[in-house]
Amino acid sequence: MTVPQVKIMYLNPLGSSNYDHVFADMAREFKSPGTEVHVTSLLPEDGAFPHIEYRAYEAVVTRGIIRATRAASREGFDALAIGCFYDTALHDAREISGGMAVTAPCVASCEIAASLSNRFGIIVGRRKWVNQMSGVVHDHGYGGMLAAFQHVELGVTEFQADHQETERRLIEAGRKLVQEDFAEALILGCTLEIGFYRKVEAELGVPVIDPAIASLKRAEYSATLRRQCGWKPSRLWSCEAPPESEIAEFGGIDVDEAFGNRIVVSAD
Amino acid sequence: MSTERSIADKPLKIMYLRPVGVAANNEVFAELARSCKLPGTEVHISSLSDRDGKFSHIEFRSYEAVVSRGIVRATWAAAQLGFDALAIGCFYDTALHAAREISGGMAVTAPCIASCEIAAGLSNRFGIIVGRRKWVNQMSAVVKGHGFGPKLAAFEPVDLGVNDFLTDHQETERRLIAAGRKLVEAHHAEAVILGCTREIGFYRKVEKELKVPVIDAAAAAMKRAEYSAMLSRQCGWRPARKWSCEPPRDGESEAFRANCAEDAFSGRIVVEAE
Repeated sequence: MTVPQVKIMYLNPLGSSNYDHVFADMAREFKSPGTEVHVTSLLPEDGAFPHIEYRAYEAVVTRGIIRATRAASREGFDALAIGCFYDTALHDAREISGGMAVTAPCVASCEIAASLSNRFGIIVGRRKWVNQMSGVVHDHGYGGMLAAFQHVELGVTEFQADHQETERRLIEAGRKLVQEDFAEALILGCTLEIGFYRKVEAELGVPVIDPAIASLKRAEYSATLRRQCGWKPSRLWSCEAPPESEIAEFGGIDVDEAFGNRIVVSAD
Repeated sequence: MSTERSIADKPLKIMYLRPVGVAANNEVFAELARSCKLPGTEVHISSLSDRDGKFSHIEFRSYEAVVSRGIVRATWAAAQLGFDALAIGCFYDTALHAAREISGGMAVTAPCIASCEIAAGLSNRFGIIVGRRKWVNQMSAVVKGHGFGPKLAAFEPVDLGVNDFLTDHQETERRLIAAGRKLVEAHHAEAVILGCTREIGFYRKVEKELKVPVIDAAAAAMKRAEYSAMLSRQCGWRPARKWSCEPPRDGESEAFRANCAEDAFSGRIVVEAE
C-alpha cells in the first residue's frame, strides 16, 4: 500500500505567536515521516493573550478557535489539535470541523495514560486550574482512573523561564503523586510543560505523558484512521453542524484571516 | 537519534492475537492487516495453541476463563519476542488487565477499548451491534469499566453467533444494517461499533447505508496497537510497572516461565513491513 500522507494542524489557541517555534520543534521531533504539520496561533484581535489560564480568557479566544477550526477544515486538514490542556472549545470545534477530526491535550493524554496504567496523576501549574481540569477529565470518562492533581505554583508563562527550577518542581510534584497518591503514570497538565517529560520519567520510573506531544500524535492517529479506514466525525443528532446557509447569513465565522502565525513542518 | 530513523531502521512490530484455539479465519485478519496497516508496520496474526482448548469462539464466560491461560502465555511470549504492541482479538477485551500485567515493555490493547476511544473521538454517543443478547450484560460492564458508559446509547443483537457472521454475507449485512438503523433512529446513536471481531468486512457497507461512522472492532484494535507501538518507539511511552501495574515477582517468575515455555501460538501469518 502507499504511504498515507496526512496533514494535521497544531493550533496554539492564543493571539500571540511567542511559543509557536517551541511546538514546531516538538512536531519536527515527534511526527511520523509522512505527516505534514502546521503549527499555528490566532490573530491578536482574537485575544493577544500569552496564556489562557482564566475561563474569561478562554471564552474570548474560543471565537478564534472556531474560526481557525473552520478554516483548517476548508483547507483540507485531516485532523487538528487544540493546544491547551483545558481542551478549550473542543466540543464546539468538533461541531464545525466537517470531515476533519479534532482532538486536544487532556483527552489525548488521558487515553494514553489509561492504556499504560490503571491510575494516573496530573501535574498542573496553579491550584486555580484544578477545578476546571478535574471536570474535563471526568467528562472524558477518566474520573475513575484519576489519582490526584498536584500544582507547582508556576503560571503558564513561567514554565520555560528557569528550566532547572521547573524541572525540580515537576519532579517533586510527580514524586508526591506517585508516593502519596499512588499514581502509576503522570501527565504534565500544561502544553508549556514541554521539554521535561523524559527527565521526570527517568527520575520517577513511571510513564510521564507530555500533553502537547500526546495531542499531536492523537491528531496524527485520527488522520491515519480517516485516510486508511474512512472514519470521519459523525454529523447526526448532537453532532449536527450549523447549516451552511445560516453560517453565511450570520457571518462572523468565515470572515477575514483566521491565523496570526503559521509554521509549516513538511512531510519527509 | 531521530525518532523517524528509529522507525525506518526497524519496523514497528505488532501482534493481533486471536484468543481461539483454531487457525481458521486467520487469513481474513491478515487481509485486514494488509489493507489498513502503515507501510512500516509488521503484523503477526496468530491464534492460541490448541492445547489451551480448540475453541472456535469464546461467547461464554467459561470459555473465556479457560483461554485466558493461553492469552497470558501468548502475551508473555510476544513480549519476549520483542513485539512493540499486542491486540487481543475479542470484543469482551478478554484478559486485557491480566495480559497488561505481564507484558513487560509491550503495550496491550483490545477491540472494545480501541473502538470506544475512536467512536468517542468522532461522536458524543454510540451504539454497539452484537451477535447475541447473551453478550450484552458482560460487554456493557466492559464499556463502563473503560469509562465510556455515559456515551453508550444501547446494544442491539442480530441473533447470530460468532461463527455465523461469515457464513451468509448477504444475510449478515442485512441484519447489521437493520440493527444499526435501530440504534441510530430509536436510540439516537451518532456512531456505531460492530461488537464482534468476526463482524469483519461489513463496516463500509453499513456506514454507507446509515451515514454515521461505523467502527470495525478488529481494525480498531490493530490500529490502536500500531499507535501504541509508535508511541513506544517515538516517545518512549511504555506500560507502568508501579503499584497495581506491578508484575509477578522475580522469585515467582521461574514457575511462570516454565508454564509459558511451550509454543504459545498456532497458525501464525506474518504480514511484512513494506
